[in-house]
Amino acid sequence: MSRTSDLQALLEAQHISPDSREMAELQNHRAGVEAAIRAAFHGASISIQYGGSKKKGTMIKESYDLDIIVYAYHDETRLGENLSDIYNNVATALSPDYFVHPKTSALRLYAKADGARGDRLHIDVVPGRYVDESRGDAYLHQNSGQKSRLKTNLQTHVDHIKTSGVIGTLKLGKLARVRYDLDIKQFALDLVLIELLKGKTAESLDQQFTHVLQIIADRSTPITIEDPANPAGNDLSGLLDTQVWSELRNVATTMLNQADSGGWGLAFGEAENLGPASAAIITRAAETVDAPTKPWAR
Amino acid sequence: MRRQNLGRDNRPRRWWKIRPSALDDITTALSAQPLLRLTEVDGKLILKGMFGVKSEGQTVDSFPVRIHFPGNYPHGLPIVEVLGERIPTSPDRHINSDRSACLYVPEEWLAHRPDDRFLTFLRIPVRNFFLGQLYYETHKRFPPTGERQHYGAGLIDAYSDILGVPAKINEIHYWLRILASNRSKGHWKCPCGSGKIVRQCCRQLVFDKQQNTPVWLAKRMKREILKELEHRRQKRTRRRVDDQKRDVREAA
Repeated sequence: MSRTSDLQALLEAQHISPDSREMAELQNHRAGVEAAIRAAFHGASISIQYGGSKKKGTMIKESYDLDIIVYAYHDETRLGENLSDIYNNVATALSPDYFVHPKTSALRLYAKADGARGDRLHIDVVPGRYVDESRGDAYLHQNSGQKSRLKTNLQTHVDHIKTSGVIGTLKLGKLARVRYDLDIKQFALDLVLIELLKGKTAESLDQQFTHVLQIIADRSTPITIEDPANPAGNDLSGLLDTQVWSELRNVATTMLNQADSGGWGLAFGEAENLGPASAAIITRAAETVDAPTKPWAR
Repeated sequence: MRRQNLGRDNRPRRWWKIRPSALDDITTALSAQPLLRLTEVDGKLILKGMFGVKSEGQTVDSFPVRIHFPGNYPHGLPIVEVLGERIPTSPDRHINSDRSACLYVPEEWLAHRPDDRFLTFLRIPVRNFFLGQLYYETHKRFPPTGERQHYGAGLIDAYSDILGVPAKINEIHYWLRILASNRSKGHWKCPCGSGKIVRQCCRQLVFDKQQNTPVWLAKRMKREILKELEHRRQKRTRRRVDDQKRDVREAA
């Protein structure tokens, strides 16, 4: 198998088909969230739509959070007078059905288990308000950071990713981020990869991924990234500081070394292709460990 | 009062500054797990990345993990947090609610580990744990090498095995009182339950167990047993109160 087909096999294994169990669950939750919000703000002018990786086409099995964007129209006040009110009122509207965990701009939903936090549902609800009647730009409330609000544009972000021509590499970046537990926002990583792959869209998956890893590994200082929805207004330097870059470099170097010695499967921590022998090896190994230890539950 | 090891900024000194050899030991071990990397997060060292499960010279699978080192490392044991959703959060899969892996009853590992190197920690309990999970995925049960019962029952069983005494909490507690004491006395009641004093009963047995069980380990086990006794006492009290409430309701 060539290095590109190795990467394609990795992506194939991460594909979530529209009729998969994961998608069915997400769609059920979306219906539930929409119903709860429409019931709480009856008759209000709201736009509820998919955002995030679902809309960008970068969902992978190991990281498939669904962003549900809930924007009030610019002159709608029934969700709240200001952004903070909108954020809190949407959280209140969802709290009878879900355990709501506030993030910087989004509300992360968990199942309710006896009133406490249960399983994660892979749903983030992002409340906000359109800036004007064109319903393009929107303001989001921010719980932390220098500013209390953030100007953004969902469609611009989606277009930026979709027209980048490097979606496959973005998905690989996402998989590496999950598996290596990289402490970088997915949004920032996407922007880094798109920036580094400018003019490389015609190259193979292997060439693209090797290229970005090589540049990251060689470069000692972070590159500059801009928010396509608000290049002048949103400072993203905090998302890609020297510490984050150093971690990226570290992982890029490791992945390149591993890929050189054993292919991309090894770099992504995939099991070696042992076929049916794999189960037999695992069974034999587990039953004959030299120094058995007994797992417990405290 | 215990003296704290404070740095110039009057905050506790980081363990890797106090014991650089412990950090060297970790970095050496990483050569066997190249997909793990050491990072400092909020003043704490964490190992992040993928733990490769190896057997017969091949990597049979890997699991994304974070390995946390407690502030008193290397005295305290590292904690393995399992990321992703491949292994569900469940006592039956030995994953605690905070996603930490319950690799063992800690005192059992401390009593039996061949050495305190980090590589040994990775090669024995961590590898065994993930091998067990892989085995579970195929056979829907853990390997015949066994698992401990959940919570207090598993603790009692493990301590019973360590000490070589019956798996009865009060008996284990009494043994630990003797073994955790720096100076045990011959006139103490014998832990075998005969009613005689140690000097006239199991003197040699007590002596042998003292030789085999370090005082620090006995103290640690005693602390955990006292917690378990307290937990059981509270549970009994709650049950009694609930029964009384039910009786009052029924009488009314």
